[in-house]
Amino acid sequence: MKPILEAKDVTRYFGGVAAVNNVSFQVREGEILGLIGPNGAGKSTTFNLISGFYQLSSGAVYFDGENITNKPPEYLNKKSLVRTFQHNVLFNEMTVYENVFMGTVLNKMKQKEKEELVLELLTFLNLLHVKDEVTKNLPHGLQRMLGIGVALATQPKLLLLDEPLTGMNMVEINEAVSILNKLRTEKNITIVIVEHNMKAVMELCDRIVVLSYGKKLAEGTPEEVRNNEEVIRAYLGGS
Amino acid sequence: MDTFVQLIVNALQSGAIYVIFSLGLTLLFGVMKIVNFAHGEFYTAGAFLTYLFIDKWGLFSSINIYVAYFLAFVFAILIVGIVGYLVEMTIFSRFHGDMVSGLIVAIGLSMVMQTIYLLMFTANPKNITSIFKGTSHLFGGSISNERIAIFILALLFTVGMTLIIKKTKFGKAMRAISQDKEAAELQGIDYKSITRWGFVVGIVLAASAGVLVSPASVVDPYIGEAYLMKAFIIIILGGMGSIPGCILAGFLLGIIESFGIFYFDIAFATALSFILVMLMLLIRPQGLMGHVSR
Amino acid sequence: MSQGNNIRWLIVSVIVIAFGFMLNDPYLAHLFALLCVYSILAVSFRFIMLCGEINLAHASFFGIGAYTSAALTIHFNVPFIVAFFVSGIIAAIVSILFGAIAFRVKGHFFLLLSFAFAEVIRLFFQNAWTDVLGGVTGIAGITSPMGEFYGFIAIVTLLILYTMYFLEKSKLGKILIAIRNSEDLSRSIGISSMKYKVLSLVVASLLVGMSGSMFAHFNFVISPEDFTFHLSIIILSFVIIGGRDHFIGPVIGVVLLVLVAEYLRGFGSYEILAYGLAIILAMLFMPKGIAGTLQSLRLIKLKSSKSKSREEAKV
Repeated sequence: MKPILEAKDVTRYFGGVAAVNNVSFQVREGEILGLIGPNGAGKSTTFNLISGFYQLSSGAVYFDGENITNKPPEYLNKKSLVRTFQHNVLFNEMTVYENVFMGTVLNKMKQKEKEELVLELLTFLNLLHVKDEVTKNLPHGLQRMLGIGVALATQPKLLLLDEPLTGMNMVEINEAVSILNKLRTEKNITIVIVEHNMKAVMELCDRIVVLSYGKKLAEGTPEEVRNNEEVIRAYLGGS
Repeated sequence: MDTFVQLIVNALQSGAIYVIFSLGLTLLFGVMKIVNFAHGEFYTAGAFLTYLFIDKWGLFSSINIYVAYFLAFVFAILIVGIVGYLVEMTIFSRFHGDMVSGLIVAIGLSMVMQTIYLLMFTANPKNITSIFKGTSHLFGGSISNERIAIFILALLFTVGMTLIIKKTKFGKAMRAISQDKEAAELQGIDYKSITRWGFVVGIVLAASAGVLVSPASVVDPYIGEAYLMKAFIIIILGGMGSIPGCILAGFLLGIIESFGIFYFDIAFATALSFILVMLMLLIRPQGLMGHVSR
Repeated sequence: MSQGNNIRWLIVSVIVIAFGFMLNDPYLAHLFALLCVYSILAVSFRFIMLCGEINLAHASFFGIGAYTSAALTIHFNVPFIVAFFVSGIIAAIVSILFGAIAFRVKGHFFLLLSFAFAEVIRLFFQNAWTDVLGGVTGIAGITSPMGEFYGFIAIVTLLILYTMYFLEKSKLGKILIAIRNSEDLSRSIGISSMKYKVLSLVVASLLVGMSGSMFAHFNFVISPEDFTFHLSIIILSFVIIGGRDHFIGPVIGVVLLVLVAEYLRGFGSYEILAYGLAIILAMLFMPKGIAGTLQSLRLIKLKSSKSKSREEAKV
């Protein structure tokens, strides 16, 4: 089966250092793929390269068979690829409702349909009760979920999540994980997730790619990765 | 060949002035992230104070002129420094990091200062007695002794500034803040205090340029503005926040103007420098020697 | 918009148009026209600020419109109404070229770039085609193109202001604000920030070019010094002091400051002093401008560009 996303020898240099060095992997449609590695491994850079925010030094990225190397984020979104951000990047002058609504602003749906979509997403993400709040008043965990909500409003096929669980407490994490699971089952969205929270990663992901010092160290199921010696060494005895 | 040398000599001496003036501006931008539209007015302050001390009030007329000039310099710097400290405290400290607001308030300040000068001194240009009289001939070009003195002093200033930035604790603190404000604060650096003193240093530099240049040219309420525009050109070309870039670009502008005015005309030279600025902002926004902020 | 509001603005519009047709005194008529044209400049300046950028070349596009109209009517015998539209179009075209290049950078870089561009345009007006553009002295002897010109100005001004209002409330306005809040997030959801920034610039410049044409024909004389970054900065002060978060803010700023300036006209340089002090005081004590401060004091209820009030969010 053709992969929905393929990274082929993706490389990016900063100065003389390869932050990402010939990284290749495939993402199968409908799966949740984890991208993990110790700090500085190049995960966020890889994300930025795939999502059009950084230029590749060499290599290529394919989405749904099309070569999308170095195409800008706005182009990628029209093709149904969307990413979230590591920090709380939101439209701070707007309410929660308006934030999610922005995701629909460019599509061709009728106003009524857009409103329904937004409300449905807010309910799905447990944000309905704060829909009229201005974003800066929201607790951190809800802001993270809102970021995902904005992305989902663009009705993507592929969702790249950049450390969605950072700063969340246990309760928020559990809720987030169950929502992410539902994304896969109910909405048929393929997900690539960068995360540090190992428990969540092992729980959610069908497969995992491990990066270290810019190179791909391992790829496989959570079981395989957990028992991989090199991975264990890279984390210095972690997980 | 003589023309060429003369043009270079002209370039060097105007370049030196530009450098001193722009050093302050680049410092303010690098550390406080403010685009100080009122910078020119502090230059004018230095010039007018010198005029007041030496010519209008003749405060030091009984002493040797070099000493008089030196004293005028010291007092001018003190006064400007105090005013600058107060200005930062009451006005600019509110807008740290907010570029738009800082810019707007600086514009307002510049309007106020210019008008104060206009009311105090009228628009008529004033002459200041020159300190170093006569001209010399260097490498086939002629240059007034005043200008030679300016060049030497400018060089001393630049060296002094660079040493302060690189060697003193204060300079290091400023550099730390300009690179990463939060990290600097975590290290125990008092952001508010350093920024305030950084502002003072920046505008004192502008005023110093004014004191240095005034005996060699005329003073009126609007001289600051022309320098301000050149300073913006310089700090963009050199890299906002970069001292070596500022020096390089300062002399570069001196050369462009010197040759541009001679072979074409002043409008051409000015237009050329602005076009260069636009190109630089597009191709290499961090300037010749600035750091990439992305 | 509530019914009460609608009626109120309709009445104001009628009064403004009436002024335009009834003012006979040349001094008052000129002042009125100036208020109209500055309002367009200020509102359109703020329109560009919706996407987060400050354009110090704004006055330059005003100048391009003015010079185009003057040159076309005087040197090429083009009828005013044609020159009027061509002025807007030329200004818009130049703004596309400028924006497509300049918006590759943003924030203070864009601001300084627009400042440099404004100077280049000024030098252009001063030194290019001096037989047509008049060099340093500019163009004089521009004539009023019609009997009820001030009525025309009033109507055009209102049309332009209403257009800008509806554009701001439309999808375009929301997109611009989204870009201002976060360019990265906007791009990630498919909004091309470059395209929309240029669009906002082009719209603003088109309208400002047309108002430049009107300016040339009621001021009768134009020169390069009329269209420098200084004017852009004064317009910026109108917006800031009037209130940058509300549509009507810039207009409040214009009316207040221009009238104050007229009052101080006899006092010469005190005018600039007053402007400068007003800016500093406004920034220190009334950062939201007059409109914003009146709003928070609940003296008036205005539509803010910021989050909708609760009652509007009902779904």
